[in-house]
Amino acid sequence: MENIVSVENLNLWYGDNQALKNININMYKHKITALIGPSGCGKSTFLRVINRMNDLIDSVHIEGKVKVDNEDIYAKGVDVVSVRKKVGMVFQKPNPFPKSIFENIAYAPRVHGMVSKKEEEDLVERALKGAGLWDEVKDSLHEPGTSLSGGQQQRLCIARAIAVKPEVILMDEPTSALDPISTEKIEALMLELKKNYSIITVTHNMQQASRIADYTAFFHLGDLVEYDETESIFLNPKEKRTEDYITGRFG
Amino acid sequence: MLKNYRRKLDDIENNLLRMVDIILTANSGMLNATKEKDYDFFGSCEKQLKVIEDLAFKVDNTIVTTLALFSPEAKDLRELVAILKITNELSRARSNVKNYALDMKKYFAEGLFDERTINNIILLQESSIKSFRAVVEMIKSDDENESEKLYNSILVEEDKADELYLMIEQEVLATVCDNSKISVDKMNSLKAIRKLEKVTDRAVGVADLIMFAQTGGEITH
Repeated sequence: MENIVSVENLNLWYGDNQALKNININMYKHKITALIGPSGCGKSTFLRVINRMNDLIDSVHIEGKVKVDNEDIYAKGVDVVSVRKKVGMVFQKPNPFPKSIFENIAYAPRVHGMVSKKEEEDLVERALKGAGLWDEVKDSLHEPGTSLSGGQQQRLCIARAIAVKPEVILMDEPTSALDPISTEKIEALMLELKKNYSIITVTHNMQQASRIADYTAFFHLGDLVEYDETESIFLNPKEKRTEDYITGRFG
Repeated sequence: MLKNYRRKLDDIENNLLRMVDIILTANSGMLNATKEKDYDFFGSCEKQLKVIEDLAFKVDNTIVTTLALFSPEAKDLRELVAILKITNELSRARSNVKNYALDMKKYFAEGLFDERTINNIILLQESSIKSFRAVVEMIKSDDENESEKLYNSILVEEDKADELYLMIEQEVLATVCDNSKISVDKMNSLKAIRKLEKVTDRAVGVADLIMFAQTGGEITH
């Protein structure tokens, strides 16, 4: 299997507080990797490391190597914008731009100079189809993105993320604000998207991790305790801390 | 339903149907062999039937994984629990068929039975085949009414099998003679024929579990 994200000896501090401790992990292309663990274990911090979102926090100090598609994204001279083009992100709460559905998709590719004006329509259609939203919005492309339901807004955000053709899509609890029906649609979509993208998702919902992830990483107090195929993690975890967490004995 | 969950369920159902099909194939083969007095076929059944054990382990392990990964509820949960028990019923049916085949090859070849008894054994075998054919239809059916009809047809076959066994038992006992070797063989042949009768009981066990999966209630078999 081909690596898409490789992390070597990663340590991260918020000021004096070490949030990630010597993390080593390889995540694979066209797979869904779920990051699980109790609140404050470092999983969201780790997710943000992968597209350098932590750069926005002054007190953060990072050591170690993070390679995306074999390129060290923390090496000197690396353009953060190009990193974020390669590594898209979908957040917990749907956050469409206060623009039309069409503009939500077309904006980033236009800014990156990826498409001509003529090609925009095709790109928007492709991205919305890819996110399973096209049939629901094809007649209202110029309505505000915020007029959609929560689940549709989240799929719009996924369409926006895939419009720039990233290698990796990061998802930070992408369904925690959604009802069960919308959640199932997003999960089904994730299973489709992994054919073309690699997905790394943070979730507090262990059933979600077990349902959709190929690999699962369990974090606790800044340590990567266990990382394995999801089936192994949920059926035969090797570490007691993992077993205790997934069986609800702590966390 | 998520695609990966659907795939697991399809995998489980396909392997379950393969298990039933192997039992049916062995039974149908023995039926023809009995009719044509080609008793060598009985010896080849064991190899065919062996696959059932491997499939049972495969199905059971897939169910455990599916329970761990997808946390099914209600009908989905009942279905997986039922199938976990069905594999056990099918393993027992396999043992019954295998033991019948191994023992009866010898007794048929020795000409231990008269024509009337052989005809009743053929009818008993036909009952076990009919009951398992209905099991296949039940596994494939999502229609509760259809399943209920099939379930009742399996109960009818079980009743028939019970009656036929009693008739065979009376016929065989009536022919027990002073020759102790023949008498011992005849008594032992009844044990073997009883195994064939038990195959229909296993079909009822499977049918009970399918009804539990489809309509709910409590596991009773």
